[in-house]
Amino acid sequence: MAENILEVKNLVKRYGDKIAVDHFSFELRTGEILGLLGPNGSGKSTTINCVLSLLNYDKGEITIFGKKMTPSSYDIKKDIGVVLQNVAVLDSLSVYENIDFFCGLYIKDKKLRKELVQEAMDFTGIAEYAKYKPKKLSGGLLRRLNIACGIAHKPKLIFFDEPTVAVDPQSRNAILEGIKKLQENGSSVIYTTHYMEEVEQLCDRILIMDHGKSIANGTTEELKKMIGGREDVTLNDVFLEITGRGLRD
Amino acid sequence: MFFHVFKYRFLSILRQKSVIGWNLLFPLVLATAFYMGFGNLVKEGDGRLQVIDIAVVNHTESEENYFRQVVETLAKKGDNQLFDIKTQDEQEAENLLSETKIDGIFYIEENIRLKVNENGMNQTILSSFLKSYNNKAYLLKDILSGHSEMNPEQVLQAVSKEQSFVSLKESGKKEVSPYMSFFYSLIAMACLYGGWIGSEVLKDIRADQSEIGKRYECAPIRKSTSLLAGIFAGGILLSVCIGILMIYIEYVLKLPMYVPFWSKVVIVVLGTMLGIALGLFSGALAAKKPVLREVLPLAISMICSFFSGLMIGNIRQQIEEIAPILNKINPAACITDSLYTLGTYGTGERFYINILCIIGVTLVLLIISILKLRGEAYDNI
Repeated sequence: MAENILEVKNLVKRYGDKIAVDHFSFELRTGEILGLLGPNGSGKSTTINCVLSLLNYDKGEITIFGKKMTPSSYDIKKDIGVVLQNVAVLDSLSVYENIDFFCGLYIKDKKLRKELVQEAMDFTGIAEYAKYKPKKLSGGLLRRLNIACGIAHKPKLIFFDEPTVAVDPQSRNAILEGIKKLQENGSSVIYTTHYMEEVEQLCDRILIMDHGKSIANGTTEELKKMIGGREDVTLNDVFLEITGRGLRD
Repeated sequence: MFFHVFKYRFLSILRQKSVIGWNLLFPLVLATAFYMGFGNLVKEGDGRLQVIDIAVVNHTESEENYFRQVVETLAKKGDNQLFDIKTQDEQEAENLLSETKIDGIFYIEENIRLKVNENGMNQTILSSFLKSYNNKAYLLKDILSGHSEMNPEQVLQAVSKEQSFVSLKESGKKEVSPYMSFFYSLIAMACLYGGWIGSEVLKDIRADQSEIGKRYECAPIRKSTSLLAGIFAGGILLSVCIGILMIYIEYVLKLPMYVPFWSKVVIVVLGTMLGIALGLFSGALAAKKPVLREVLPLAISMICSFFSGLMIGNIRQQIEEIAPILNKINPAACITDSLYTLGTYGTGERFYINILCIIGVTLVLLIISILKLRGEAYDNI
């Protein structure tokens, strides 16, 4: 059985009286792509932020690479990559400079970093835009730059928080293929999205959460069997069945 | 790691048009506007009266020739020289006046007439001189017409006597024009505008203030390293902007500040630290309010600059009379007063008190910022 690269046990996070994450537990195996699904307000982003030690949490244990994760766990952070939902790049630096800057927060060796930056640009297909500023890039290219900044240092564990929002199908396909390659290169991935087809295409295992709790956990096939296992059942049907069809805030 | 962050923070801030615009171009534009408004007054008024170039045109041989005698007496070379009579030919006088080679023409007619082409200190002096002459001449005539037994010379001496109740004490330094205070306040304002830079530096490393901040906080770099690198980068840029402003005032606009070089360096360094600290303070206080984070440094800068004399020249003096403590806690007033003190008196107790006040305000801003920002994780982002 593959070793767990990430373990979250009984995570609780409250915002005042509202409980956003309610005794939530899960693990990520080495080399796995785990899809984290849930309606708006289910606690996905809060969970990710707690795991990354961006947020204080009220209760629970988080271990990554077998060590307890804290805000000052720099030895753990150096092997983590983050691709945030909103594009996080510096507008006044070029594509190359952005990737070099963020990669440089992890990799000190200049020569190695230069190679990694070039690889990241080639990997995400933005090498020809190396001298462009972010404002001159299309939405799809911007998303790919965002990804390049998060993975250039070849992290072992990568968090993708809805990386394909507002991206055209071609760019989305390129991003998904890229993530698969990252897995083939040895990275483990946690992937959050609202697009079911992405999850079906990409993820080894799917975790559905709602109201801060885990309500389903398994492969696509296992989840489909939960609601009868008909051949025409889609993951979207499973999701709606489990979380309900009511509108969310 | 520090130099890597420093390099890219420096580039990133340098390329932001808003930073260069507000921290460099706007103060230069304002300095130019001040110069166009009253630069001549600064050059003319270093405290001592300059010899005024005039012409005297005689249209009559009447008693007003006495006026010409008075003018010629005041045109004699020496310490008391007030006028320099360039010509007595009317056509030549008109030409010189139109070419601004003289400041005014006295026409000796039935009544003495003064013709000037523009407004300024010299023109005001000529006008005051003529008024004073006319008043005394009228008084003399009035006294002698009613008291013909009186000795005209004694009467003249009596009406000419001016008694002064103050004496001039030389400070030993070149006198700085009081109009230079506006430029000193402008330098203070430029220092405080560094608040924007400080606020930007903080925003980019805080997960609760920007997406870049989230990326930073996920990276294996200490927040203090990121912050210091950003502060150094922003600080160097701000220092250069303030230095350029000072060079522009002194060497391009040619308005002497009479401030020693090392003192300028001290003021630039302290002003930079103050501006950056103001930005950190604003960022810490308004962490979750982006609009307030941008407006707060501007508001504090403008209020402090206003009360340092940026728009009303003697407001600092008025505050000093009513509530001197306010001048001491207003960092812009401290910077303005430091520069003015250096130019007029040189270094001394007053200069060092101002420096201590600037350092004190900077430290208070920094301490409050650190206390507010302490802690490594957030309750909400």
